[in-house]
Amino acid sequence: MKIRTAFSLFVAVVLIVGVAVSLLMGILPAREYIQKNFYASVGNIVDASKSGIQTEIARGWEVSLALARNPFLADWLLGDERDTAAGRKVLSMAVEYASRTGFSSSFIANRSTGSFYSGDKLMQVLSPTRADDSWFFDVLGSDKELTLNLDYNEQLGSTSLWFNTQVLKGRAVIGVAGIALSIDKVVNDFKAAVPSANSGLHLVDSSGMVVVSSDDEAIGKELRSLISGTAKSIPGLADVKTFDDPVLGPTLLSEEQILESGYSIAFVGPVSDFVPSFISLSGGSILFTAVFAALVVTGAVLFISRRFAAPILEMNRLALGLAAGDLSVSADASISRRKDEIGTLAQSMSATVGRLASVVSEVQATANKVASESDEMSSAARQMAIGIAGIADSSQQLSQGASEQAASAEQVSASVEQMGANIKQNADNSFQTEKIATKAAGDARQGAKAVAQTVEAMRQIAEKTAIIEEIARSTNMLSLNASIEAARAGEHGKGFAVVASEVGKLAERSKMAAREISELSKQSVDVAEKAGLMLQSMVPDIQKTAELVQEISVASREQDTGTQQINQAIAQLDTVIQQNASISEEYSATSEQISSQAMMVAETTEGLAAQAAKLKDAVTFFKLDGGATE
Amino acid sequence: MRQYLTFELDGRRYGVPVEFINSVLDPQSITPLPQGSTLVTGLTNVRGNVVPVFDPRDPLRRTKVEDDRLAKRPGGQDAEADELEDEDEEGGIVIFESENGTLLPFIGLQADKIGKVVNLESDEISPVPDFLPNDATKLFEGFCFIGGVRHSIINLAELASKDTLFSAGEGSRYA
Repeated sequence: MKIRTAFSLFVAVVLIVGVAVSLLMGILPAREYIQKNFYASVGNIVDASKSGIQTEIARGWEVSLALARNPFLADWLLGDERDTAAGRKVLSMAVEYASRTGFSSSFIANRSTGSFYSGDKLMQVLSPTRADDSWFFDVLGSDKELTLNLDYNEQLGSTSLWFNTQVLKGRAVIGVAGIALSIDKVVNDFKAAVPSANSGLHLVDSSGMVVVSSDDEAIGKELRSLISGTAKSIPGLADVKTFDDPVLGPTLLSEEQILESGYSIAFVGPVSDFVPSFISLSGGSILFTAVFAALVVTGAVLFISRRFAAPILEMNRLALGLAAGDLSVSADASISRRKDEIGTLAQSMSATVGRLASVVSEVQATANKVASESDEMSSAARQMAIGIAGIADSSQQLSQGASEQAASAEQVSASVEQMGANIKQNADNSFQTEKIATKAAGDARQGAKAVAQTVEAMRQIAEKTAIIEEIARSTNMLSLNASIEAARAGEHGKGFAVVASEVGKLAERSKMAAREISELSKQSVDVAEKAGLMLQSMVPDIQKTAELVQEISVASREQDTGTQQINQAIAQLDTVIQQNASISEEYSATSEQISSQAMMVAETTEGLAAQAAKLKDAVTFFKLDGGATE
Repeated sequence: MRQYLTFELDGRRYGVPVEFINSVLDPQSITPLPQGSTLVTGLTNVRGNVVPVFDPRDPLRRTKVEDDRLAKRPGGQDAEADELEDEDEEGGIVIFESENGTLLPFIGLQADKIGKVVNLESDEISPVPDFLPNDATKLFEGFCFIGGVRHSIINLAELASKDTLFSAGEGSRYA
């Protein structure tokens, strides 16, 4: 509650000082200024109230003068009064003058006849002997052209203010004319022109008597009797004077002549009527103001302390709860609803507490989860350790298997090398075969050529045989001729004939032999040609064989390179398998390490479970809404 | 006994006495004669001498004998021997030479085949039948069979006479 007191004191002091300063700084100079300007404004008010009356009297004055100075009136008064036409004209004019100005009536009085017209009617004849008519003769004898007179008129039945004006012809006064103003109207006018209740407007005659006044009691009194003490003039105001009235306090007096009538208008009014209450500053009002200010200050202090200290107390309560670990607290809704910084503070405070509560509950849940999951993880890590040990065994087996694989690959490599040697031999053989086949083709071609040569030789033999045959024929022919010759020789030619016939027989035989040789050679030519054809037909076959063998040779060579590549590949495979073996051994070692690490992980997770339990205990310090501390 | 040289013309065999034969020549080119007759066909050269060559086929073919029948003549083993003999024989020009002035000093005959010089006894030659017309009979002296083959012995003096040759050469009867 300390802050509330301090806050209230502070605010009160601030407010009081503020009010005092504002009074000093604001009201006092204002009062001075207003007093300074007050009299001017009061003067204006006085002038305004006087001027209405003055104007009215001045208008009556002017109208009376205008009527009296009308030449028709003077003419009518000097001439025959009975001239009704002129009389009516003048009288109607007078009535018109009166009615125009709003005055009650007009009047005309003739000196010579003494007849008195009120309005357009002849009322009476004035006589110097009658006391009531004395005013007429006073006016006639006056040295002033216009005189004012307040009188009761029997005919009119009312008191009027008379504007009596001399009707002049040259210097001679031939009559009196003028207008009358009902005194009731004047009084009413005076009363209407009074600016305040305690002030009064007075019509004062030349002797200082009040003849008409807004105050009925003042009529007939001397103006002087209304003033107590001596009036003092006010600086800056010409017409206004001031005196101290015992009842009303400072009072203003202003007197002014109405034209040259000898009458004057006076204004008497207390200053208090025109001064606003706060300027006067009486003791009571100051007290009231002080009390009011104290009330206001108290209210303001209470309001402000209620408005600003209460939220702080609420926040304080919240913070204390928070310090005690109570997370179920929240700011009052009315404070949170505020739109200013305090509202924002309350909202953020509430949000913080809510967020903290959710975080704490999450932490609790997480701690629970961590505890249970770390148990699971511990068992999982143990299982993992066992599994990885199994993996280590398996990878050892894998290593053994890889070693066996490497051995097998080496065996395969040897086999493939042997195969490669075989294929190489194959290739060589096929190359040789190819060579032989090519040679055989060449030989066959040569054989064919030889056969052709043989055929040619045979043909030549046949030709030669033909020559022999020809020789034989010629010989035959010769033997024939010889035998003819022998026959012609007769007995002497007998021996010759025998010789000739023998020669003929030889020729025959040689011819036969030649024919046989020819036959034989023809046959051998046929045979040789056949052999040649066969050889010729053999050549492409042999060539084809040679080509095929060549292809076989090429294929074998390719096979050879293929097996070499296979050999390389197997060698690579061998190294890879060996690497595999070493890697799997490493793997085995690594997995044993991992197994031990998994065991460590299991232990660590057990430690983690213990930590989670501790965390859970620590978090139970906070009290949540639902009481869900566990 | 007389000796005869045998030869063949158009498949018929003839014989001529050797005394009329000058020599036998291998076939050689014959220069044709302008406006030649069918009998004297041209000229040939014999050891520097120009000898006329005649072809007696037309006069010898006067008698019409079917070649078919000729071909169908009966034959046996002898026929085979003939054939062999025939095969050996070759064509040539036989140059005749006359003893008297009836014949041209030299005249050649183109033979399809020239046979051998054969010895014939006079009884082996059968005479020409009498009922044959003169024109036919005068060309032949007789007929004989050598190896089963009938040979006609030509009367060369008549066949190669100027009359025969030139009448034919003038283109009258044999043309």
